[in-house]
Amino acid sequence: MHNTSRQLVQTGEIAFIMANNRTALETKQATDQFSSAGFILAAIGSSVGLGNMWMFPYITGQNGGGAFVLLFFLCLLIVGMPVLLAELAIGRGGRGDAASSFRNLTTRRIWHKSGIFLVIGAFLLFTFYSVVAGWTLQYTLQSFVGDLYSNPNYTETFAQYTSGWMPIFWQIMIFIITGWIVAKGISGGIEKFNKIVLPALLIILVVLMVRALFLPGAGEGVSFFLKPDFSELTVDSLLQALGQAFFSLSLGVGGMMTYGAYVEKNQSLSQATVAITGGSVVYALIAGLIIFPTTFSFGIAPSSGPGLVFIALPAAFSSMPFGHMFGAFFFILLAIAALTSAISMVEVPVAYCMNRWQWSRKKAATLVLIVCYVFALPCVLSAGGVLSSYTLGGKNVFDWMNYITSNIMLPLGGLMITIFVGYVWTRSVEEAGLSSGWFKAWIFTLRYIAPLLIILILLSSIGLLK
Amino acid sequence: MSKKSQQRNNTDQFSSFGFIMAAIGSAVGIGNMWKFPYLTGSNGGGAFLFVFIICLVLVGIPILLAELSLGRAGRGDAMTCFQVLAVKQRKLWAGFGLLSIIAAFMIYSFYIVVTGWTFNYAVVSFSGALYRQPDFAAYFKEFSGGGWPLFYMIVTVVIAARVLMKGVSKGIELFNKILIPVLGVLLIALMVVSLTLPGAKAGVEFFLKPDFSELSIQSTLVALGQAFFSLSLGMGAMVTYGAYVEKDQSLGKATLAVSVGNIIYAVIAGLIIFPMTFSYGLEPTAGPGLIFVALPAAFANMPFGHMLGGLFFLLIAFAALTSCVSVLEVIIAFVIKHLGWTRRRAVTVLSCLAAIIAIPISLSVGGPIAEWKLFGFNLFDLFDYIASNIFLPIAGLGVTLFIGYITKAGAQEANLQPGMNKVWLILLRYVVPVFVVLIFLYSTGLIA
Repeated sequence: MHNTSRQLVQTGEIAFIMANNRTALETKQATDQFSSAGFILAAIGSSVGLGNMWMFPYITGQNGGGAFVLLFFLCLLIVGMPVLLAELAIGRGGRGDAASSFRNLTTRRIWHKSGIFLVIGAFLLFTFYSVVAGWTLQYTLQSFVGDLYSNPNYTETFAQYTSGWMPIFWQIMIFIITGWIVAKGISGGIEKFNKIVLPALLIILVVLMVRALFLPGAGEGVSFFLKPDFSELTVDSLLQALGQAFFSLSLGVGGMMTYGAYVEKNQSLSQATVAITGGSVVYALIAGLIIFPTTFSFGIAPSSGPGLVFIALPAAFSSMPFGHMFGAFFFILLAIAALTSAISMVEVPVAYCMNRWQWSRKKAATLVLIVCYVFALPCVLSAGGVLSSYTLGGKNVFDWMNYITSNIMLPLGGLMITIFVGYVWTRSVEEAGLSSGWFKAWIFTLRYIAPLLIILILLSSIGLLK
Repeated sequence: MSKKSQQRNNTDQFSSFGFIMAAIGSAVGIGNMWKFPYLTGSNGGGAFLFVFIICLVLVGIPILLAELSLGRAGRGDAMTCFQVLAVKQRKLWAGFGLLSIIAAFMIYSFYIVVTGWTFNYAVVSFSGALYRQPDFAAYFKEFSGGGWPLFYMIVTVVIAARVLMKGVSKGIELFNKILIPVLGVLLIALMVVSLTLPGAKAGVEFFLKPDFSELSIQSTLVALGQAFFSLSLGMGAMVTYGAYVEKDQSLGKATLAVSVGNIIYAVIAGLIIFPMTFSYGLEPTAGPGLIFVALPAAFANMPFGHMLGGLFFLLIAFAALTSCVSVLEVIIAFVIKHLGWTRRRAVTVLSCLAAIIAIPISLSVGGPIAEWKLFGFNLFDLFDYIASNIFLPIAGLGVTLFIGYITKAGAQEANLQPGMNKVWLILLRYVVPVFVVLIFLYSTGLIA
């Protein structure tokens, strides 16, 4: 209200900046963009990751099943989707990478440097994510050839494997695969990859789900997962639902922002938001319908995290007819989910380097991954390997990378995004594609509700809310 | 830009009623709820109330009027007013103003933490989770050191920022104009509930029955301190609000209205708290222990206790919020004037800064850094002690001496009848300074 003149100046400057960048950007846009469906698949690929598979089902089962799912939907609506739309809108509005998009949208100097925070977050996230993604590749292979099932003590198998040297090899494989896809560009690499593997992912999921649901005693697992029990809902489940709504959409690392910059101007971002969220939820629900029938049918206690997929499930697969094959399918599924997410993480720093130093995509991808490997090697060696006993405050390098990125940097990144769109960027209405009522609700959420809830997520993820 | 902000100062003013509401909102805070009733009850009830009113007349009201006059005469923030009106030794007088601004910032950074507590208690009381706790003292200890206070502290900062962002008449005034009457009505409703509890009479007697034998020098000092602190003096809030008052409003009447309003709220608070604690056989105390430990035990056994408790904590939260707003406005006005910032920028930067400082303060109350102590105080107590017990009396003394001896603008601005004016100036010159020094010595523990 009282700074209309300032806004005018700002708008003018933005127009000027845009005009300056237009030629460079337009050539990029013209040559390398997502198609409409390709973008939605890539974004779903980015959001569907290991978290949907090993976190969501377990939390749901623990917190009142169907009742928690309802709560989760609510949280998606008030935190997940508004922030997702904000990230996409910043990306497409700024037409740059996670750092320069902010710079293109405001003249406020403080925002010019803050985007780099997201780039660093994505970079560090990849260093430990690549370790886990590597494990899934190893388990796929081992399950196919049957090795995995030779020792019935799966805890031991897992410890033996992670303490050895093989994870280094598989991590390098992940680096090579991601690097290769990212280097091929948006439409020829990322979009193409997601367009092929995501439908494949869905087919595998459905096949596994059908198999799991026909196991004897599967009903018990389904009811643990989905039967609503509102008496189980507590403040703690609310916090978990909030965290899951935020983390399951891969928000706060600039991945969605970077992808947003490659979206065509005439695509509706709000519709895309709904589609991405819906896709992500469907994958997570199907994952639960695979995991719980299987664990309950074989009398294995359901848990979460690496313990679930690398220890509990192999035990189930070993006693299932054609278990090797189903096991292998399951691990391929995990590997694909992990890869599509890893690609979006790598794309964030790659896009940044391409803009910042005018490097070619190939050069950027190569150099980013080489530098990243310097950080990733200690990560892989400390996840059960030779460096695992070097700890600081009870956490080794792997744990620290995980803690700093997931628990601290992601929520802070999300907070930055909500505040930017809620308070700083004045022309978000052009990108969001919302009717005026929805737009008001969106901005209101970004101003007051989402930031406070993200602070809750942050406080609970660093362990202050118990 | 500074031209623009000056212009706004001229146009963005309180209405007459809005100003009184805002000033009452500033004065009525958590202190009225958890300190005044207890001090009254334990120092001779009605007899103490009598002494307290005398102290208000002798100390509180003269300083309040001095602060308001200083603000309206200087038309600026708590420091600028001194700079504008002082002829000699401008730096010395500006120093008093600066001290009150620093005190205001320190107070804001721990006050938002306490306000956050009351919000949390409102929520857990409404939801019923509070009453499932086996031990309210243990719950308070565990809760205050954790992360929830941080969340509610940020909620408080955001609400205050939202109000302050809109300026004086559309923000501060509107907020207080709605909340203060609502607060009054709800307090009266709670009072009726409380007075109809079985055994309520014993509480009323403890609170109000005059017992002149309990009065001592000690209780006079307590009454003096309460008369000073309960009106939010010394932190520049009243100076800052004074600058937004229209020229034709009578400051004398406003001072009276604010003081009476403040007493009424405090007495009603006492008539809620004591009948309740006595009715349920609880030990009345002061401070956080009273409202966060003793009262939940009463609400737990009361019919509709969840709702009434939730309402009670919400009221305290509102009372605290209106004080928060006035305290931060002191610094905002200063920053707008001296750094030439826009209001928007001042509110944003100061809110963020206060929230960051409040994090360690909050965690020092039973949290991970509770053991970091300086002179035996944790961070929270240190901020409270330095700002409330040292800075406020000194800054209050500055205003008193300045209006009493230095400038005539104050007297012009107050525009009292000649007789009253003389009395006021005599008080400011000879009586108030002595008492403020006494308050200072007593609150810092130099005399016991």
